[in-house]
Formats: sequence, C-alpha cells, structure tokens
Amino acid sequence: MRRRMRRLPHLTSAFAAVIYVLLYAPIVLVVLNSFNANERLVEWGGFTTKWYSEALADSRVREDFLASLLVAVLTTAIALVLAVTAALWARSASARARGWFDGSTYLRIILPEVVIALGLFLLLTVLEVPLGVGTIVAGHVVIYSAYATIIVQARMMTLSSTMEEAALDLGATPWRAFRRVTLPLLAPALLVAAMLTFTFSFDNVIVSLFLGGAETETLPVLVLGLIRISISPEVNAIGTGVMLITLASFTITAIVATFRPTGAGMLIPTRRKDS
Amino acid sequence: MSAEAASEQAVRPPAAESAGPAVGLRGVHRTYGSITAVDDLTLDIPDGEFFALIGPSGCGKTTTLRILAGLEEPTEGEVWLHNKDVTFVPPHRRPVSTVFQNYALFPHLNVFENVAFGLRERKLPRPQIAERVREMLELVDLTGREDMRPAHLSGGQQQRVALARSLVLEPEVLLLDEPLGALDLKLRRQMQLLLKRIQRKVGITFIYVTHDQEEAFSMSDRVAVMNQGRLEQLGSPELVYRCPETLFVADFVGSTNRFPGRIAEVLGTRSYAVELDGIGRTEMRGVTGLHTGSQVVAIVRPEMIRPARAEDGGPLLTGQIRDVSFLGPHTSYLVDVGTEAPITVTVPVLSVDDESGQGTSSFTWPAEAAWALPAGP
Repeated sequence: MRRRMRRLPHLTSAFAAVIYVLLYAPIVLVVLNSFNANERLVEWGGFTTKWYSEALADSRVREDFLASLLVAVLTTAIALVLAVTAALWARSASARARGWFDGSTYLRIILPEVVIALGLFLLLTVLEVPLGVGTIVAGHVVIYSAYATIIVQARMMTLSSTMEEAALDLGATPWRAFRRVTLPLLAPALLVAAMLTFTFSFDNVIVSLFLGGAETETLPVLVLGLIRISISPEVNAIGTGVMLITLASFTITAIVATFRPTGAGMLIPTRRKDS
Repeated sequence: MSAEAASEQAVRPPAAESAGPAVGLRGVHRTYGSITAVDDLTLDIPDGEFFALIGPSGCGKTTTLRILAGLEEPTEGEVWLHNKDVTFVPPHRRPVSTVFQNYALFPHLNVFENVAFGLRERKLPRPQIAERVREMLELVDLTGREDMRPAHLSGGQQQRVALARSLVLEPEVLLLDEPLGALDLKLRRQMQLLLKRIQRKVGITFIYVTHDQEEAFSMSDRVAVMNQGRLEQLGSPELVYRCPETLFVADFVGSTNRFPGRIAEVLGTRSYAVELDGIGRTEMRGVTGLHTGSQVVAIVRPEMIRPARAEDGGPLLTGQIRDVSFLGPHTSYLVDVGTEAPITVTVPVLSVDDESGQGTSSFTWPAEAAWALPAGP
C-alpha cells in the first residue's frame, strides 16, 4: 500500500507532462510555422517573416482584424455596464429575485454557445434585423456579460454598503458616492472582467459566424475559412497575432493591477474589524 | 463620575432658544416587517449637548442614529433639526455627520483624501480644503500621516481619521455609533477624553450611541436609556444612576441589590416609608406615584452598602460572607443575607471585621442610598 502511494506522484507528474505537451505543443507549432519559409509546412524551410507581411498586406485580414477589435471593445464596454448595473441591483434585491437572476446568468454560461447563436440568428431573421457588427456584439454580450456579472457581483458582495453610506453622509450625491467610492472599490473586479470579456469576444467563432451575415467577418472566422480550403502559412501568422493580442491584454491587466496602488490594495480583501 | 462633575455639566448654559433644539424627534416609529426597532420615540436635544443613547444591543439605538443621519426613514413620526423638518431629506443634504462603528474609511484614499472627501463634495477651492484638513488633522493629532492609507493605521488612528472626516464639515450634529467599540480599554479611555475635549472645543451637538454605560456616563451631559425600541429614561447620568425609573434602567446602568417590600406610608412626593421583608421599616426615596400597600423593590448600589458599626441606626443586614473578590481599587463581597440572591457589597479597603471573609458580618446603608421602584412584572 505504502509503496503504491509513493509511486503515485511519478504517475501524476507523467500525466501532467502529457497534458501540458498536448496543451502547448499546438501553440508552439503555430508560432514556429508562422516563421517557416516552407510553403507546404511539411518541414522547416528556413526563417522568414514573409507570412506576416503577407497577412498585413491582405486588406481582408486588416478589415477583419478591425472588425474583431471593434466587436471586442464594444462587447467589453456593454458587458461591464450590464455587470455593474446587475451587481448594484442585486445588492438590494430580494433573495427570490436574486435567485432567478443568478439562474439566468448561469444559464447563459451553461447553454451550448451554438444553441444561443442559433436562437439569436432565428430571432434576428424573424425581426428582419440586418446582420453585422451590431448583431455580433449583441450575441457576444448575451454570453460574456454573464461572466462579467459573476465576477463583479462577487466583488460587490465583499463590499459593505457602509462605505457608500459614509460617502452619502459626507455630502456626496448617490451618483457621486458611486463614482468616488463604489466604482474605485470595484475597479479590480472590473479589470479582470474586462480582460476576460475582451479575450473571449476577440477570439469567438461560433456566434460571430452565425450573426455576422454575409458582410461582416471577424478574424477568427477568417482563420476558420482559410484552413477549409488549404492550410495557408498565412494562417499561422494570423494565429500568432491573435495570441499576442490576448497576451497583451493579460499583461496590461497584470501591470495595472500590480503598479497602480489602488488596484494592488484592492486585490487584497479588505480588512474586517470586529462586529 | 463624581456628583460634582455631574452637576457642573447639568448647569451648562442652554443654547439660543430661537433656533430650537438641535435635534427633535416626534413620535418616531421604525418597523421592519413585524419587528419594531424604534417605538414612539420623542425627544429634544439642545444645541451643544453631549447626548448619549444607551441600551443593550437590539434596543433601537443604532436605528435611531441612522434615522437622524437620513440613512433610514422613520415608518412614522418626524425628525427636526434646528426647526427644520428633515424627515425625508436625503443623507447628503442633512447638516449632520456620522462616525460609523467600523469607521467606514475609504480604503482606496489616503488620510488626507479621506478627510477632504466631504469638502471636495462641497466644491471648496483646493487651498481652502488643504488648510481645513491640516487644521483638523492637527486637532486629532494626526499631522504627518496625510499620505498613509487606512489599512496602515492603528485602530485608534483610524478612529481619529473618521472623527476628523466628519468634524471638518462642521456639522450641526455629530452622530457617533459605538465609535470606540473596537478599541482596547486603555485606548478607549484616551479617546473618551479626546472626544470630550473636542466636543467642548467645537461646541457641536454630539449624539453618542454605546452599550457601555460607564463610557456614556463619563462623557455625556444627558443619557437616554433605550430598551426594546422605547425610551425608558432620559436624564443626567447621575439622575439615571441614582433615581432610575424602572428596574431595567437600574440594572442596565450598574449593579443593584434588590430588597423586596411594600410601602408602609407615603411621606412625600418621592419619599416613602417601606416595610422591607426581613429587614423592617426603612425610609427611602423612590419613583413618584407609589401608594401605601404597593409592592416595591428597594434597590441599593453595592458601593452604598458599608459594614455596620454599633452606633448605626439604619437598616441592618446580617449574613454570611460567601465570597471575596479583590478588584484593585475596591474589594467586592458576596453576602448571603436571606434575600433571593446574595447581595454584593463593594468597599474601598478591606474594612470588614472578619478578614478571612468567612464569618458573619453586619452591613447597613445610609437612608438616601436606597431607591424604591414598583415590583416588576
């Protein structure tokens, strides 16, 4: 028994190693191939940045990149507003109303994305809404505002309403109290929620595919299209680019959270004294 | 607190009558569903008074404070501040300020910004804000801590920031909700002195909520004792302590020894001859309205009872000393004199005959020390 227990760690590390290889090998492969001069990508044909310049020169790539960026930025902004509004409402809502609301939030995360996308597509078609950036954003918001809501709400629960009461008591109007006290205290959660929403929205395929219509295409949808015909080396360059943007949003968040004093202070749970 | 200090406070000159009382509550009720937090509260607090609201937890004192701050609306009744009906005026437009129980300092702002918070809302010019914050920090002895965040301050310092943050707005009334509750005893004493000094200096009406009667007595001009949402008694600390209107008040503001009996004769408005069970006829003062024959409880504070000497003519208690506790400045005896519960006697020095504390001893009290109350339900 004891011997088997001792052997267990070796097994788990081996298992973990396999998982990590499976997780990261494709990424490494994409990055490497984006610099591979061999057009058919079957072997290493030497270092090149040709695919990057080709991708950048491609007006379709540029347009789709801008569309993706626009969608992600709009989705993030709208999702954050909804999340904060919901968290403020939930603070004073009855337990019953909150239960229903939380249920609807979790449902949007649990439901298969394709179901939501299809449903929205059918609805928009019936309503004769022209598909485009607007409808893609609407679709993304439906799903990702749920994540943002959960994050912001979790933070809101740790804040006592006394802070806001103190601000009102000191002469701040309700709006000013929100602006000067509640919002700064929510900032770290907003940052995390924004990063997540942006990242998810930026590389979403399914909803963007369903709701983009014939005119609008996002970068991930383009990538999917490109590999359908033949695996062009350009795809690897685009993929690496998308990855860099995601990494950048994460890095910015980390830097802001570490170096902005209010951010850093807020990531540590507030000290509770007595009562 | 000494009787002299109490009477000195009682004769503090009242503020200008024309402006009306600083605070007036008129028949204030506050219910939460079926629970009544505040029950028909009516009181006036004159300008410049240090007023304490005391009572056990859940007695409605904090709710009363929140109603005054505007953070809570009364279900019924009116709130007046200096002849203005403010019952439905929102908190940010009331000339009152609150020091919250856990200070509620803004963790993302430093000491200076915390104190400047309200002044910024009033849109004062920056140099003026800086000057007033500086003055206020000096008053609460926090000069040099401007750039620190609340989390890096000690409890006492946080408390003083909270005080400064409210006082800098020069409110008509300052509300304090158990402001010293989180501090240790020594710091509490220091802060009590500081609070009292500041209140005398700025002359603002202070309404102080606490469950600690000693703290309330040491600082306040008047004390209101609340129980289950109702005002039980209102008066100077000395009056509340020596002439409690109810058994609840008597017990809440200090330890009591109870001696049951009945009124043998009414001698005056507040003066009675009482036949105490097992002790005999004794003259004492008591609440108004007791009739010959009514069942009463005489209460005597432990420090009023002293060892009896042969020449004493007052009520005589004889009993076995059950326990002796040395408490530093005085010694406390638990004596079995045949009443329902053993009585407590505190004396400044070891002045009981039997120093081993095991013998039989006699005790008495001066006539003015006992106080008759109707026997409770």
